[in-house]
Amino acid sequence: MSLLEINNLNIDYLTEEADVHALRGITLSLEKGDSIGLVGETGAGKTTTALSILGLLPPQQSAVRGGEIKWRGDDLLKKSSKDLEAVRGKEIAMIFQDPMTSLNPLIKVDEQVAEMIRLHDKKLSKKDSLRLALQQLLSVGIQAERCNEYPHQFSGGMKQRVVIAMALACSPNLLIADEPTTALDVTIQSQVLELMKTLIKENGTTLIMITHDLGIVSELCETIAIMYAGEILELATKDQLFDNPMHPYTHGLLASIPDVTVEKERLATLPGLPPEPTEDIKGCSFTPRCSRCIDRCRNERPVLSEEEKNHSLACFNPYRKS
Amino acid sequence: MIKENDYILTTESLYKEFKTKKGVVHAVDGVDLAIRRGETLGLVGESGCGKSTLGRVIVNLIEATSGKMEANGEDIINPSRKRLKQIRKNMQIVFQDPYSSLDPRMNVKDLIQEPLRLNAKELSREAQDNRVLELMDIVGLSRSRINAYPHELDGGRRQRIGIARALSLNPSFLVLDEPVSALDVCIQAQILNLLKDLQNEFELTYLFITHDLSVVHHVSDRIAVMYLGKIVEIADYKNIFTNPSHPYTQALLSAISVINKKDSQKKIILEGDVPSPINPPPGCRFEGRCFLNKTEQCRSEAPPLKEIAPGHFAACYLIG
Repeated sequence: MSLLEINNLNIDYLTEEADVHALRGITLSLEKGDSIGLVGETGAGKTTTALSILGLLPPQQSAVRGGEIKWRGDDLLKKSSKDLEAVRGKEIAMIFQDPMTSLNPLIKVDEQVAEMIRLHDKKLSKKDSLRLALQQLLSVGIQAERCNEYPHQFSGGMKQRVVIAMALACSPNLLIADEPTTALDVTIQSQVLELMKTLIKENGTTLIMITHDLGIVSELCETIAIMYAGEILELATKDQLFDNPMHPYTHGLLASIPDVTVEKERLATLPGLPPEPTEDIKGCSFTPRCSRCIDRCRNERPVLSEEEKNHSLACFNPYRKS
Repeated sequence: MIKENDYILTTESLYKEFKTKKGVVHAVDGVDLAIRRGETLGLVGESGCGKSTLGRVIVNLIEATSGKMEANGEDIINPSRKRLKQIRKNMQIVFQDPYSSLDPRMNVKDLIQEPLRLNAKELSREAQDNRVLELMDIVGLSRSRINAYPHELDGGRRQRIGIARALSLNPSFLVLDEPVSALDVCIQAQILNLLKDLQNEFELTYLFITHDLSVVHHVSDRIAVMYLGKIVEIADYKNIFTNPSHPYTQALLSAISVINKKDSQKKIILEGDVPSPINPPPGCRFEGRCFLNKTEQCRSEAPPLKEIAPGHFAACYLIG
């Protein structure tokens, strides 16, 4: 049994005008100790995937249109919110993009971490939970004398450390990190990434990393899923994806990123824009921008299937190394 | 063509201080800069280092506290309103966030026409209309979108409007303040290509402000690295990347996450955060986080920029 198994997940956001198709059939499975990066541009469905696993989608404004999310064999979509609470934080934890808004400004940081620990172990006394919180904060490099300060007294990098400490406080089996370093400066970013790398390795945590930065993914993840318009178009190990990108979108994406090791006058660009998320798409969602599009692409939707070992693809006419 | 000694803009001991309740923020702390005609000078640094403030002082959006600044040999420091209007025709700025730098109640036509209406009164209404269409063609905005409002357009198109506005009065110098940071990579690539084409076509000089090292490598002829209000290193872009000399530049470059790097080089992980620009350290600004063997001089006296190789300047006592 896989640790996490997402099958053909479809999720819409409901607006007055039309339904926004945020996820159009995501299928993904994770074993213990895996690390996967979900990569894609704004609106590709990365964050929606993460929120759906945790049951954090806004209930009035979203609807599951099909599919299942199995955590150790149990469908999370069928669980009551009370049952979900036991999973959230304890078994599956999440780090959000913006550390400035994910901490409570009115509560001291050690108390915030302790609160989280107490929530999942009701027998603990306040004193014991504070002691554990302190340990946790020390392990992410916060000095002991600063642990009873408020979030506003911390810099962005330190706040993100607190968030990491909180996420890892209950030793979760799965950690979902949504752009954890996007709001941070580069030198602080490398501090935080280094810390995450060490902690994940020590605890054997399974990781889902959401980012638009392929450089960060290649440092932390073994597997990469390229997302586009609510679908996974290519799923492969890091090495295979970078050495042999097969989907035309992955090709375009990689070519459009400036690379400090390469000299070039112009960047390759993909023409056009992603489809409107309200649109119903018959064939492949990338067709209008694709240079390798054939007739079949317009009428039939390609399904993610294994092309080579550890390399899956949703494309009828991929690039192949000849 | 870029000429060695033909400068479009120079600054000398340029200072900008902000008075706050907590004390004086030394945002730009004695900057000497000489921008060559036709080049792209990349200005990199982390948040709070003063790079945006420097860009804004240069186009006189905010007043300098003290220092000298010349454009084409003429003094442009804190000019009168009338004089500023003339200077502005020649120097423009493109802002980071195309979502908040455009008036949401103006359509594409009004937005692009606004600078013409204010500064090119000699043009007839018809000539202005034609110029708007011409500018839309230049920046690659489809003419069919002329009546669209910013919220109807994606980030890339909005940034094209920002660029069209900046180009409307035929400037020769543009400050580009993080022009692609808010955009997705595919759109980012389109805008970077556009900026390069425009530079060639209209012989523009760019001061390109960014925190993204891959972008700055791609666009720049020379790169200046800024830390806590001061330029710590400036050189040809190749020298900065192949032979970074200042320890801060070295740490900054080692922090880049290169895609699928096989020969993973050791990262220099700096300790701590950038110190506050209120009461910055008296000596070298970087001294507290520096990993070299620091001396007493580093602590007491700010190092000046010195030429360590032809055209390559760095502000550090411990190198060269």
